[in-house]
Amino acid sequence: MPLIQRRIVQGKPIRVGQREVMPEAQVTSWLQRRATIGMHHSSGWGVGRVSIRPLALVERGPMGTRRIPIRDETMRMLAGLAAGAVFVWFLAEVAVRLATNRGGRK
Amino acid sequence: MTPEEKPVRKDHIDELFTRLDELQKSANVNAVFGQPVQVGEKTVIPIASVAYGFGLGFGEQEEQPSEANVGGGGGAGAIAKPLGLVEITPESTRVETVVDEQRVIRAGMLLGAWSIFWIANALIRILGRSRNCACCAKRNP
Repeated sequence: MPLIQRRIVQGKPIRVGQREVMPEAQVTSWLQRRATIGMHHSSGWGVGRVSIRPLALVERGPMGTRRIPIRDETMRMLAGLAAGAVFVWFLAEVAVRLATNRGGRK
Repeated sequence: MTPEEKPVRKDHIDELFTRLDELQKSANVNAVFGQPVQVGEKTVIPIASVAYGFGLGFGEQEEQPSEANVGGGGGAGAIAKPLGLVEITPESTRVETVVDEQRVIRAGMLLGAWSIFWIANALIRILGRSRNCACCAKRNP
């Protein structure tokens, strides 16, 4: 069994008029388990983590099938800030390198 | 160890593994998409992201086969974060997402502190104060 499993699950379609909307989610799970059988004792343990994230809505209707993605805006903003943090560090390092090299040429 | 005792041990381990598999497979769409709510002509579905963790364990001593020699325990924790809502009208379907402002503000403050640190660090290194400052001169005369 793989350590991390990722699967896409779909829910019951919701009917609104002539359209049908089907929710879709991504399930990521991680499971570790061990068992020990000795002469006088036996033991077992297991730990796991499951995260479920809504992925999209699949809309089916007279106009055809359309996939509406669901984006986590908070995570996108946090990713942007993290990228900004890396950029600030990079700029600072570049500035120091440039200033140090210029000093060395003198 | 008698031959009769072996299946009992295996049963406990099988049960533990079955429970773990059940916990892993119990995740479904209903955990993140709420029940549809009818508001006039609109159908509104709340959406969230959900994560949970769990741990189970047991141990048994076989010298005295009694209930007192078998022990086990477990624990679990879960977190759910609202992501927004789905609005289905007779004309269209759209997703309204929400932003966790507190988290973004905290991360922004952290980024501010990080930026100040690296800018100050760069200035000190450029201006050479780290070598020639009074405190360092005292330490390395």
